[in-house]
Amino acid sequence: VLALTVLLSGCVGVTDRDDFAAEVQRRGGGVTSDLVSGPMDQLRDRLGEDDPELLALSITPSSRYVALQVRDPDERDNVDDYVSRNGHLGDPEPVRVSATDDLDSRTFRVSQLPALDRLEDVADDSIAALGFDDAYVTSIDVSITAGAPGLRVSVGSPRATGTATFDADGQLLSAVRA
Amino acid sequence: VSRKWTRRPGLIAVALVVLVFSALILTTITSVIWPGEAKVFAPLFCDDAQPDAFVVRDTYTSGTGETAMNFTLYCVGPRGDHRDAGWFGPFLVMTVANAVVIVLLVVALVAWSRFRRKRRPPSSRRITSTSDAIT
Repeated sequence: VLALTVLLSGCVGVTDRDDFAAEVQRRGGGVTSDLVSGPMDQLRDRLGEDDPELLALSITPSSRYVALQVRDPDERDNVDDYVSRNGHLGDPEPVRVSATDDLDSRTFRVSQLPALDRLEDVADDSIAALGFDDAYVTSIDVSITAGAPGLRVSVGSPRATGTATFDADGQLLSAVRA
Repeated sequence: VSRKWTRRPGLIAVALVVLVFSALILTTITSVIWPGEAKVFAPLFCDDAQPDAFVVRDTYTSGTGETAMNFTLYCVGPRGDHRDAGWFGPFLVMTVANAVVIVLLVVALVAWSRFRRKRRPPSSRRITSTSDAIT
């Protein structure tokens, strides 16, 4: 009985971490709109600002990790990093800003990006445009490109990787295999 | 509840402590052998948006060569979106469920033994007191 117990220990009904990650990828990577809406709601409450100014927004759906770079509404030259894990927004970490950094040219607001409300479609369009087998979204980055906010979606698969870019409304601009 | 129990609140406290301890030990053993038991109670932790439960095992090897395992219940949605439901909550629920099973088993055993005693013919009953011997 003891030998059986040792043999069976931790075996019945469990999934190893790697297999779990593979299952998440098999289902598409885990992109849902609440990845952004959840942390943003908390950020609004924290800052007392309806539409905070962002400099960067990065999403890693497989680990439910969202990184935000935010301008302080009271001191707009102050920039803070926020990280959200599993839907819980952490404390701000100050960011060093150089004298030559033009923050205004990099600033965007979530309200300028309707695509963030339908991230599921963005993920599906990225995977369809790149046409990889067993593809999944590895990350989504939001930033100002050529003067306008847009999304850059990284897609992975067992045999290839690629990037799809979208405008603020979620229209596909390009899909390039790496 | 028999009069013996109502007259002795200490007995109830001792029984409760024994029950909690037994349930904790039983849950510890069963969760080591069958961690997937937590999935039985997943509806308590997973909502409709993320209905699929997975018990995920993380294995760590220490510098001394010892291997340790961690279990976490995850609720997973159709797109791979998932939520960490932890392990403390599921473990607590499993302990309560095991405590209920233990109570039911004890009640069943007591009822069975009483039933057997009642069905035994009087002639086969043991003489337990002098009054029984005289009659």
